[in-house]
Amino acid sequence: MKTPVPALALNTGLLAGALACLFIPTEATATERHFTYTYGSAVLNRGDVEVEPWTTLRVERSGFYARFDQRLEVEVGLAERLQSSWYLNLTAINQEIEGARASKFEFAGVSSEWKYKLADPVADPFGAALYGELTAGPSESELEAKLILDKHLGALVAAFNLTAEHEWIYESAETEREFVLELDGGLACFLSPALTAGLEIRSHSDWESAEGWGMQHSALFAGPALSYAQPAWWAALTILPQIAAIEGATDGGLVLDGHERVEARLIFGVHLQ
Amino acid sequence: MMGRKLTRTILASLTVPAILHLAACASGLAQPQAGDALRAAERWPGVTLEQLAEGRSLYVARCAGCHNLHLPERYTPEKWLDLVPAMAVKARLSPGEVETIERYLYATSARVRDEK
Repeated sequence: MKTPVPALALNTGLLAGALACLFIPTEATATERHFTYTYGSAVLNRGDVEVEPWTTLRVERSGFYARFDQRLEVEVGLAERLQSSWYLNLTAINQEIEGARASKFEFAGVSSEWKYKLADPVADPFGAALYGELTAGPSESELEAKLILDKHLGALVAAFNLTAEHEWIYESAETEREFVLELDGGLACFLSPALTAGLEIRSHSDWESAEGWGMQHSALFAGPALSYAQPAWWAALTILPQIAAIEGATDGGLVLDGHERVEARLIFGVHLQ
Repeated sequence: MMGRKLTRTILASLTVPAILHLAACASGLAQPQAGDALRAAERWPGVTLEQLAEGRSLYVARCAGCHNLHLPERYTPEKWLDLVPAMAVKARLSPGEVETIERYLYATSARVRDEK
């Protein structure tokens, strides 16, 4: 029989852990990611290059559903505070449609990302950056803007992103448009100079033109985030189960038509120069 | 029911900004002071407060591209004189830039460590 953990004891434990993080020495590279959905404000130095393969697994909708989103990113430091990236995007989906499983694999387009650092998370009260991304693909195009805030305090790393996206979807005879608002946040602690562990939260809401710009889905995800860094490479992993539906619940209080029950993302980063 | 869910979501979304706000109240990277210039001048005669401020700016601009910035007090002044040249090639720092950063870290490290 399980003994319930008193909320006060749990909160005290979390607070003690967070305070302990303030006093652990850290030794990390700035361009590493501690979260896979939430960005930090760091940019590469001018002339530095990094390659990042991304893998996102999304599983289980109302029926069987498994999807791999694969992105290959090349990141370049262009100037002091300014970084640009180029992505190649691929998608593979296997899902149940009318009792049968169907799979498809598609080239999902290319993306161009631009990031400008406004403030440093150690030197300034907040780290901050502005981010823009343009994606063009055969079945979907997308324009994305993001405000990035973060803070490093001792061994504690916190980050918050506000993201707005406008998508053009070409899957039906008439182009559909979609607006997406996303809030992402993360809190992590250095357990050793190379290893961080923490929590990442993501809320994703969308409005569609085909439905008179009414909100279609809104879901909240939260789960563990781990990262590990060495001078020449790093890796970050987040597992995000959907924990609540805000709008459009289909099964058991979750949104399982526009979103999946679980998402997981793994990113590797390799410094080339 | 819907209202409660929305409230929970908003509260959850505000948690991280709230933590960021608390973190912002904590001190960051030390600003150089007049006494730091005097201390640095013992090693680099004639160094000014403005030059130390320039060292801080350069430290933030160039070193944060390779690693999370370390607070000056983390290492002794003498240790910084070993560390900065060792990282100069990766950060593409000229000898002049190395010395500008060293002056800032050397002087503020000594002062903040003394204060503690």
